[in-house]
Amino acid sequence: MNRKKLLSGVLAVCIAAATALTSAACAKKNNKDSGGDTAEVKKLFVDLHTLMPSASENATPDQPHPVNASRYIAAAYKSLTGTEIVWASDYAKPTDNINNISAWFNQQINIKNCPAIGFTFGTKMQADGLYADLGEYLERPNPYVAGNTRWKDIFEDWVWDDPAVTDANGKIVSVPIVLHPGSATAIYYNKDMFAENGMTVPTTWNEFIKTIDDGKKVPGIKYPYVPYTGDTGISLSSWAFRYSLSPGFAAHMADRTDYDKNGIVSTNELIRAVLEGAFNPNVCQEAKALYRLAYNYYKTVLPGGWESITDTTYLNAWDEGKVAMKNQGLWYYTNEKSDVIRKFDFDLFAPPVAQSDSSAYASDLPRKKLSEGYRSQVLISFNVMLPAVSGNEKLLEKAIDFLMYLSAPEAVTAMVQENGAGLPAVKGAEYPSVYDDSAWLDREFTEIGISEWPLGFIEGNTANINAAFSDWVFGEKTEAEFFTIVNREQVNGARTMVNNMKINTAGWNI
Amino acid sequence: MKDGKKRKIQIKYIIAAALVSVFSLFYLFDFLWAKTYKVEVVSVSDENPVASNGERVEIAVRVTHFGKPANGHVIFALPSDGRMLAFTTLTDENGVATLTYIPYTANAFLPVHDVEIRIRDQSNSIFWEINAYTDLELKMRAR
Repeated sequence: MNRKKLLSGVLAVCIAAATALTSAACAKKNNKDSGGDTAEVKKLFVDLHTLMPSASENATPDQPHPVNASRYIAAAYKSLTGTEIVWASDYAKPTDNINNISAWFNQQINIKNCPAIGFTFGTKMQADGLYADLGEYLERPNPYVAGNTRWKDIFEDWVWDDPAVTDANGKIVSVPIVLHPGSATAIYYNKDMFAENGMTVPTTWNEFIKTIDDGKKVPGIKYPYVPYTGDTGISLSSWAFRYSLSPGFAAHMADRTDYDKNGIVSTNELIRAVLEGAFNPNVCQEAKALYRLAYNYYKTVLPGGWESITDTTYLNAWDEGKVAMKNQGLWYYTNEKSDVIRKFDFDLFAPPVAQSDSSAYASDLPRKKLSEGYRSQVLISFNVMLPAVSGNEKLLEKAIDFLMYLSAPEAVTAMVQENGAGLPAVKGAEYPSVYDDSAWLDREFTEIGISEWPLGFIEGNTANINAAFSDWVFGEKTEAEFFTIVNREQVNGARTMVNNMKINTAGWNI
Repeated sequence: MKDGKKRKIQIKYIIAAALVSVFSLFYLFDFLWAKTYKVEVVSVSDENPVASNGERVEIAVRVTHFGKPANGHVIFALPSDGRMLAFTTLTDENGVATLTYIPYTANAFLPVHDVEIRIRDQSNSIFWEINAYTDLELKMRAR
């Protein structure tokens, strides 16, 4: 071995050892300072997802929206209680998808540095047994809300039915802070193009498909519709499937899946229905029709090769007036308003939902304004993580205390208005007024919260379903093969949930 | 060291020095060129707005070049707190652009404090990004 190689090898080993020691030391420090049973909790390790403070406090051209609300809240909490908040963002907590978030948590648990408060997309890691049951704590008064006698009462009433908050055993395992602003995303459309070509804003999926088909016939329109940029591949986990295609079909099955007839199909009921064979596409007409609709969406509605078209291509085409509609988040509104290249006027509408005009196996769903009682789904909620607090009552109590502080209306207003991507989950908190500019909150949204459509329950099973679906769309699997796989993976995922979560299956026909 | 090798090193230094000189000249040019543009605030709907997210402050700015309106320039506004409805907008034929500022909400965590908005003309540079700009201070008040 030559000397250079030897030196670089020794250097690499030293760096790796130093990194490992630093991580271990930090982990030990966070846990140690979090306190034992008898020690006061001096530090609380917290993951607030996108609500965590940004690296810089100051606005810069590259980061015009620094996140400071949680920084100020944490400072105020430290002044009040003496407990310092340590942020998971300092430990490279990812904020993109559940796979990366799940991997990060597993890594942190292994090095005994799991945050006491975590964001895991609500209940996505429920089968891993990571969440504390928050039910009894929500019955306590929140001392940070004047006159409050029961913490649970400060939240919007419907959030407890949300599958992101309540697990498959009916336990409340996350505290909701931010709701979707009506629909999860919006369709931005070229208002001038619509007016010139007599196109009207669609309210159902069928009308939406017709608008796309009409757009394909108009010279100059290169992309009648551009999907949400977060949906990067052919998948049933896409926002299109979750928020537009499946809700009407899931609602159509509610007479068979809403076992307790309370108007909402819980995760527990979905698991039962899957195990009883209700979602098997070989016998379930709703499943068959829905998967075929999804197949057609990817096969014929989206432009050929759409998944390899870059965001820049779409953005340029949009600016050139060659895109009729595009799906984006409400958080993008300020960026769209800042687009000085675009020469046309734009507006937005809520993504349409497939209903009875798309299929005899989909139900019509009510459309409501927020002022009429529309129930926005939970967007950001936080768990108390058992690997961090187990066996440490003081740390558990501190985590609950900070969540109480964080959920006080004034704190929620500060975070939600700064974030600008959703509505407060707490009564009396104020929403981001940027929505007023487009009168977004005065619009009607389709109620999709009756039931979710189940996929694999467990990420691995869901991944297998998505892979099989993609193969079907690409012609590498037949419809029959896909139907067999989706049923197998759903049943396997449901069984894992039952086993891991010790779900009581008494009375189930399985 | 052989003469050939020395000469190669000399040539590298000369090229590097030439490049630095050229870039410096470009920088100096843009620095001076930016001075020929003037960005000024023409009107503010409320110079003493309430520190509340529900408020709006309309700000009109004018860009002139040797006293003449600069049409089609990209104006970028960055507030020290709160947000702009749109960060960038274009000047019209009178060199005027209108911006909308949305204040932060003052509360127990964030007391009332003044806001400075830096307003830049992003179109006046040729080689380097050296923007003409002006600063606007808003004296915020409690609601």
